[in-house]
Amino acid sequence: MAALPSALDGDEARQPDAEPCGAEVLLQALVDQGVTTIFGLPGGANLPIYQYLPDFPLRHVLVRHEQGAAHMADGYARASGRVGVCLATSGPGALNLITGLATAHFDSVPVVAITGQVPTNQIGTDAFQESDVIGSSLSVTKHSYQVHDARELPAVVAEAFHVAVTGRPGVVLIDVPKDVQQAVVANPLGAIRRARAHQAPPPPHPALLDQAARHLAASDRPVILAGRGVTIAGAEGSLRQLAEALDAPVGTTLLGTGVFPSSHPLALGLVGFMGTGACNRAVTDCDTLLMVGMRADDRVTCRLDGFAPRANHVIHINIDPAELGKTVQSDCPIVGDAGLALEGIRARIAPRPRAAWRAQVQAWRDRHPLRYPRNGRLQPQEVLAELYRRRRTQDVTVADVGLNQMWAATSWTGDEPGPFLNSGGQGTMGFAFPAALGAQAADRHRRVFCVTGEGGFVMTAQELATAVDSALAVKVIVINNHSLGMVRQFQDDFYGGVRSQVDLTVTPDFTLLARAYGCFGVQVDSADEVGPALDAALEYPGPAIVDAWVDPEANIYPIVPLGMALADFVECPEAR
Amino acid sequence: MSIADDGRQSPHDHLAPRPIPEPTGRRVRVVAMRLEDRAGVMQRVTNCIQRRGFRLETCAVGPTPEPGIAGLTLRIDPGYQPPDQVVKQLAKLIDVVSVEDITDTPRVEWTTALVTLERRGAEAIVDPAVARLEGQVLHRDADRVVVAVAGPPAELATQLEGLRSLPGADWVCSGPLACAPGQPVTMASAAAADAAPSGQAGGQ
Ligand SMILES: Cc1ncc(C[n+]2csc(CCOP(=O)(O)OP(=O)(O)O)c2C)c(N)n1
Repeated sequence: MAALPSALDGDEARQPDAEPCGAEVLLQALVDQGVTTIFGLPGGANLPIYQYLPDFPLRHVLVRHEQGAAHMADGYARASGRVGVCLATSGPGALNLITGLATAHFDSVPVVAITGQVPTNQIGTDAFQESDVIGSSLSVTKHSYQVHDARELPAVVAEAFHVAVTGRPGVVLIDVPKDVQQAVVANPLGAIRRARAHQAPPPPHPALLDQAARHLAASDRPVILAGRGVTIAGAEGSLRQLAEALDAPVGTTLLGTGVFPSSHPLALGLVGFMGTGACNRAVTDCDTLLMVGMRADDRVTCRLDGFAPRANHVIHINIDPAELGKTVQSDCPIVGDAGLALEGIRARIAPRPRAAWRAQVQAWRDRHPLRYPRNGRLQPQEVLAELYRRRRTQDVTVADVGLNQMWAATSWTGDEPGPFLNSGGQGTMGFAFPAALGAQAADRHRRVFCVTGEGGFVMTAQELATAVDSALAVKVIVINNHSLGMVRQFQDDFYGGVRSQVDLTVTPDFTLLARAYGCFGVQVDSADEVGPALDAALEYPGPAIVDAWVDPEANIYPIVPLGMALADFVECPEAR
Repeated sequence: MSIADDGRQSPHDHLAPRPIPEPTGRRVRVVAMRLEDRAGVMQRVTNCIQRRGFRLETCAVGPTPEPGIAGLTLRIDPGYQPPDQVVKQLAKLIDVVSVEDITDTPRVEWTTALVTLERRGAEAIVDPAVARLEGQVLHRDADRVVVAVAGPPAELATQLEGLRSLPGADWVCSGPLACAPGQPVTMASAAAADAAPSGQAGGQ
């Protein structure tokens, strides 16, 4: 078929040595930022970008839904520490990104999203596939740009990447009208001039480090809580050194899972709503609390006046000043990089053993081990134990949302810190699988495990096609309880026992679904089948699904009843 | 943890709905801001206020001597949030140059109103009232008079209340402008706040 006249597609007749157009300038700017991989899906308003994409050294992962592109960019960024990039068209394409952008932004993940927009002169006319993506994304981005002059593109891209990674990382969106993509760019403009450049806060203030060190040195019952900020700062080693010097036990937030070795004698495990008994007791009884790289949201604190009620001093380290004093009041708020702050405190204290406190914490550990019933049915913890037995330190575990997430976090084991990714702030079901694909795209040599419920998995399972298409050999472990399990437990425990709209008996046969997409799939429902199934999945060179049918009544314990304090946690009733 | 056998009661029924707590009182903050005058910047400011559960009471915005920099005075109710969150959250906006909470700082405030009154048939009441206002008459014809009045917000509000019963009384009012003469708002102030040792960067 003859090519149509090029009125729609612009400058097909362009000479090779002609000035570049906006799309080319944009793509070159991405390359200049070190971008190698983009997750996206084309449509009318970003076609000029796709027209020139093949000319640039960029790998494009074609997603099957734009939400997947945002989660993949997010998983890519979390796993690699680099900026994740996603690309969508205007209107529905751009709006489909929003959930993924919110997920990344809430967890301080550097992502740059690029959206096509209708031509500048059609903005505001309700043109075909117009959406106000700037307005729609305002509260889920750190900053955004709508580019009206193609000459600004290099400067906008450079600033967007700077903003995304500087200080507290976050999401930046660049909306590029189609005419801007097609405009010829003779002389790109220089950097955006600003009265106040966005910059990371200065190093933690020495006076505050002195004060923190004094409080910790004088403490008999110190506790450290660590969050994702420690990962972002690459401060896992500094955390461990300070903990050992203080002989202080270390709990982690959900997003902090993996920052501290679980086998370390000072490890407390997860804090909060579904935290370990030992951790929640230790936080309740500590005389000095050090929180680092975390926000202290309601899932961490539970009832606020029951959070660290005996602490004389609360030291809170966060790179974002707005997180200090937002929920938990701190008498020693330290703005700055987690690593610098931890090292600064470490340099100011003399190591001191705290045997009595250690013994007390051990007693809590012994009294409140993680328990689950043994009733002959496959327990989720048994599946995860087999998985973690096979996990190597640098393997990436990505958990979805719900019971599967909490089981995966509380069962996490490692002798070294290791990557454990999940959606902590937004709790976005459907996050894990595309995020795992993003993590795999960041490094093909790492093994990437996706732990998910069957409810969350089907929310983004269409990305199985992306996995096969882009050769991303993620191993999916579906913890299949045939229900929206966490909601089912909440209904049982907190909402009068009325099981309402949580039954997922009608769920696809995941082995057939795997086959439909050209993946490997295996189903198990007893403990002795799990190991061999995981091994088979690992041996298979491509994406694979292990569908583990677990006890449909399995719950997460301990749990702090809604509205209660950390110390009020309830343990698994049937297990001993 | 599971439901009792009679299915009646959850062990956590004591957690059943509780009254929603009241916001911690009216602690409206007076905020002085400078920001880069770019397209959509006010949307970012108002979005931040809405997103954080604050409430915008008044807003006055306009140019400053610095080209490309707008000056704002905002009165913001922090709702349930600690009051310092207002400045801390606004300071995170990339286009914000400086932001200060001047609520507890000695400051001057000024508001302007344009008052319209119906004269026809009521000249005997309206004209002396206008004279007493000591404002500037901007327009006067047989039907209407428009007069500009200005003053500190509280005084102006009282003055306007006194006009309510006059024929056809109507007015529009600017949000108060404020500045703290002892603490001039400068470009550097936000940067200085970032480095504040108190850890309350972006704060007072
Ligand atoms: C997008 C989205 N919708 C709804 C919820 C509320 N929610 C939290 S956990 C959960 C159930 C998850 O079910 P499943 O994926 O099967 O995992 P399970 O809890 O059974 O392990 C739901 C519906 C959510 N977190 N995200």
